[in-house]
Amino acid sequence: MPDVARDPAALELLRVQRSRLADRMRPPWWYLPGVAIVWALFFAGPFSSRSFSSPRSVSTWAILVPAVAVCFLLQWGLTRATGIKAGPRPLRVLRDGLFYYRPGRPAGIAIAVVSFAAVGTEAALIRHGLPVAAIGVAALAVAAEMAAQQALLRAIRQDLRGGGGAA
Amino acid sequence: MTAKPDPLIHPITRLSICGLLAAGADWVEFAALRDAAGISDSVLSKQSRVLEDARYVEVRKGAVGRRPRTWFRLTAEGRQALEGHLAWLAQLEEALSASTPGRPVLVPRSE
Repeated sequence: MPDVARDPAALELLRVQRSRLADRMRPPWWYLPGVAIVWALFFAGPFSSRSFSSPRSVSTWAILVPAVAVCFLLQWGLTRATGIKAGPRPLRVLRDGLFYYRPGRPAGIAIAVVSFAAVGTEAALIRHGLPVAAIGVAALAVAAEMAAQQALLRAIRQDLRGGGGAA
Repeated sequence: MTAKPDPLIHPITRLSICGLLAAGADWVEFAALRDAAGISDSVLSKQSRVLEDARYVEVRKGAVGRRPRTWFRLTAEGRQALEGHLAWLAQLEEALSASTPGRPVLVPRSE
């Protein structure tokens, strides 16, 4: 085994290896369409009270439960396909008690903000008898969530490539 | 953090394993780690065992169907040792760069 203690080229080798690891964090072909389906189901939630004859709570659950199930399935599939588990845990505790934010946290916040804003807007539009406008908002929200999801994956790759703060 | 060499992660294979596990992922699977480090199955098994015995690396074994899956994670102790070792290597690199002005500065590639 070569001795590298006096060879700073080891750092360059580590950078190359981290790049290789980051390149593995590319989603398989089914991941992004799957994410789009999850968000489409989520943003269909506000329509549930109009579309189903059952009480609102039951009909909303009928949409949200499959969406959450597909979401977990996608995350499991991504971890299995890439061999890397890198999220979506928001905070990590270091040994010295400090906290730092996970990579892609801004994208994560954007995902949350867009989802709440879009659902609220959709509900208001439906209440005012504008279902077509609500569908338009839902479509825009799905597109925005997809862009944020891709930004999140890019941030994770960037973090893997940069060494996650470990020099 | 003190910049000091760690004899355990001094060999390049162990440095690679720890460096890759410290790169931001929570857990990394055996094949992903092997491919990224560019080493063989047997070398990874042997070196990861040494790191596990030193409590630098945590190992979780499972299976998907009949296929065994092994996952690795760097412990807090391993992270601290690695950071000290990398800081020490960075100091060496800096000293070398200073002594040879024409030498290019190494910067990680960004997207």
